[in-house]
Amino acid sequence: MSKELLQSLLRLLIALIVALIVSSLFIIFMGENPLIAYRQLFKGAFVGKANIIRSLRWSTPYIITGVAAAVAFRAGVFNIGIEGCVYIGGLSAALVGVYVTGLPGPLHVALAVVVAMIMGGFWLVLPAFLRAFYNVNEVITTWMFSYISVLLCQYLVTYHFYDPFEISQAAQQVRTSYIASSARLSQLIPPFQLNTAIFIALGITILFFLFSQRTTLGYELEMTGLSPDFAKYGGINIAKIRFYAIIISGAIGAIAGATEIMGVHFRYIHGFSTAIGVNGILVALMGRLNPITVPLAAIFFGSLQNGARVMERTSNVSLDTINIMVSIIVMSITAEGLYELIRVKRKARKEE
Amino acid sequence: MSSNFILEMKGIVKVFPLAENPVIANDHVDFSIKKGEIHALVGENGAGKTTLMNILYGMYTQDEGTIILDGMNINIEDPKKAISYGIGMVHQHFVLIPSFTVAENLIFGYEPHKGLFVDLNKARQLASEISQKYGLEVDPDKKIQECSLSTQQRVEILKILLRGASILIFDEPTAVLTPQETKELFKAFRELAQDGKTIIFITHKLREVMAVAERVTVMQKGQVRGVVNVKDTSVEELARLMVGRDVSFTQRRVKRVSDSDKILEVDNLYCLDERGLLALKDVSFHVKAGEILGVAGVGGNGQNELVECLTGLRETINGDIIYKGRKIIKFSAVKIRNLGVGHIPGQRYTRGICKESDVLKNLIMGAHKKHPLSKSIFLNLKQIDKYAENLIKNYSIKTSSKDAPIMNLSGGNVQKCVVAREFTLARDLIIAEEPTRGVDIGAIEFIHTQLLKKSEEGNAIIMVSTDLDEIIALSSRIIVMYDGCIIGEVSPDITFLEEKVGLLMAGIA
Repeated sequence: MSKELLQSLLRLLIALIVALIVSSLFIIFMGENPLIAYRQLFKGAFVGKANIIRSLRWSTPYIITGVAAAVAFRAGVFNIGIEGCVYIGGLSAALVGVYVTGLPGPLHVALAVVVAMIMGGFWLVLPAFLRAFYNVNEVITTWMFSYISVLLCQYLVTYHFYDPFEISQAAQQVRTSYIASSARLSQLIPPFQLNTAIFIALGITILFFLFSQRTTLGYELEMTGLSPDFAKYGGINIAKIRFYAIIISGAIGAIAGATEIMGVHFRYIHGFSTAIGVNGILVALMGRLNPITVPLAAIFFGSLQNGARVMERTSNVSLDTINIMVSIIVMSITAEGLYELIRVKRKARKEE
Repeated sequence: MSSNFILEMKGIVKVFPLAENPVIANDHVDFSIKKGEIHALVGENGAGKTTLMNILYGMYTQDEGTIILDGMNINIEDPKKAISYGIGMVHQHFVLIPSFTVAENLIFGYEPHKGLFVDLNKARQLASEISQKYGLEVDPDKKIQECSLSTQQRVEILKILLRGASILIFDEPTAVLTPQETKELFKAFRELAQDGKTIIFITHKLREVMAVAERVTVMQKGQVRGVVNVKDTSVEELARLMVGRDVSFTQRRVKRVSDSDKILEVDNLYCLDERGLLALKDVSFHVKAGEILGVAGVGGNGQNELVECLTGLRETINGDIIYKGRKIIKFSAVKIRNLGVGHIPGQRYTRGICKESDVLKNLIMGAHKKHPLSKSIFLNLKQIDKYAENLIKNYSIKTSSKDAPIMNLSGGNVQKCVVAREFTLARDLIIAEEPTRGVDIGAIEFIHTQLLKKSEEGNAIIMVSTDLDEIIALSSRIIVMYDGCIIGEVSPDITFLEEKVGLLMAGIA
């Protein structure tokens, strides 16, 4: 293990410990014992068959959205509209699952995923184009587009794709019919919700790794993100790279939505995504956009969330305090990356 | 004698201890000015004049030496202290707030109050008074962004006068002025001097020195080469003092090139700079295969813009650029690069390398899409490793490994990475900007040897440098840029080469 990697891991550990210490102050303030709370957290995340399986189930969508965010961020474009793509992907997969008939299982699933990807990518064409060629800030456009997406999906399902056997005008009950069994992802360990989506997530991770480390496009994307001047001057078409980065990012994000629908809910239902896309951004940043550490961060985050749920049930620590704790942990881990950034910038300034 | 001098700087030493290339910016410099005098400070890039004035203005502190103002020893810790001593600086790049009015800029930081509020009327009044007093007309209510550059400069001058400056330092004040505006500025200098103010101005334009200054201090390589009265000297003497080398230790290493193809031809090139002013005015030249064309000149006379036009990074507004018979003037940077034009950029750390990445990834840029480093969409990692290792070996790049972060390397080795990459990719034309700036002696030698090798292989090389030693040592031909034009061409074999080049650099053809 190289010296730099070791140092990095050490700093990560310190960040985590600092976060836990700071959070414990909040827990003490609430009148609870932080050690007990943390024990519950750890147990809830990693101990016991049920907990481990649930942690994995929750990690799966984060792996996918984490990779989606990482692809864009590596190119220096901050696509934060992944949540919108999750919805688009979910709805597309649901519609393929409901209205396309006569296909064998694997083909039906593959079609749903492909359609979801196309729709997810297509959804971000306008923000991608505006950013790549007119330098319109993508943070604003992609974020706004995710609002549009959620509301659009709501509208489409409420008025056009609703379940005719269970019509309800209540907003919380907006949903499509159930998708055909051929479009469902196999459950791995019933009654838990862990399904074959985890293999899809694994596949996406491997593809991300190959893409960034082994392809010319991956190299160009990385250089465009790290140093656009250098890339442009080196002959790379940075506008095209930025455009495709956002589109691909949207397509991958849509897969996360599709797998949630096809593997867990079996129909599009309002609120199916509990900030999967948004948390994907966190996961990508925690994992430093790296194809090996982003999935690890996703598993960490998914487990943390699951552990927090258990902690809330079994201890007296309120959900809000738990959220504070999770936030502090995420912030510390992300902030640790600042060290490297400052070091490089300082050296560059000295040399100029 | 001393009673005449309002300010004396004695034995000033300032060293910048950079790791590989410690620079003695000021080497026991003595500098004195008389009250009410207009004094010019002259020298080429790196002579130390800006550093000296920065010490006077409080931006730096000297390592050794004393500053005596009005007979009293003083310490100038920061610009605010300098102002309190009556020393003010008008910078080359103005420090005004574009959306504020003239009056608001004048009082900035020293606002007169009326209760809780800023007294803008008083500000306006102050502005009018002082502008009339010195004949520097300004409209107090006009926004800075709507004012011409010469008006902005006036505001800068008024600003420091309002703060009580009696010694005014100007850094290249005529860079942004038209000839007419220059005349007006010099008129203002004379009026200020008559009022008892002392003027120091830094310039490389010797004609201006002869026109308005009373005395001149000439610096070169951190030392004072001479202090003369303007009426007792000539531009030739000044040029000699400015660039004259004691001994010709700069060995000439180039052989003459006679008959070969013109690789690059530039005809009547015009382009604009960021401010919308003409940066290149009717520039024409050519380079032949095997030649090293040295582009000399004080920085800021259009060299940067010229290179940007040649490499497709800047739009031109007139003229032609012909590369190996093809008109490339409208070509994009990508296209020009793919035609095999190598470029060692002046901005080493933003364009030359990716500072967040490692040596290997920096070395393969440009070659990564071609055989044998890649096959269709996949990178051939083994070939890439071999390629990088070859470059590291052939260019003696000192690095712990090819995967080391490039910023771990010393400045000289970073530049060697850039040189290695560009020299390997380039076919027929290499444009090198300041190839050895900030590089240690050993690496300078190496890079120069590589440049010569490339030219012997038949490549055409354009070398833009403010380092006259480098220009003299390596060029087959020398052109000098001044004020956006090529003011003259010199063959390196003539006698009094340095003086001739010095004169050209100073604007005297």
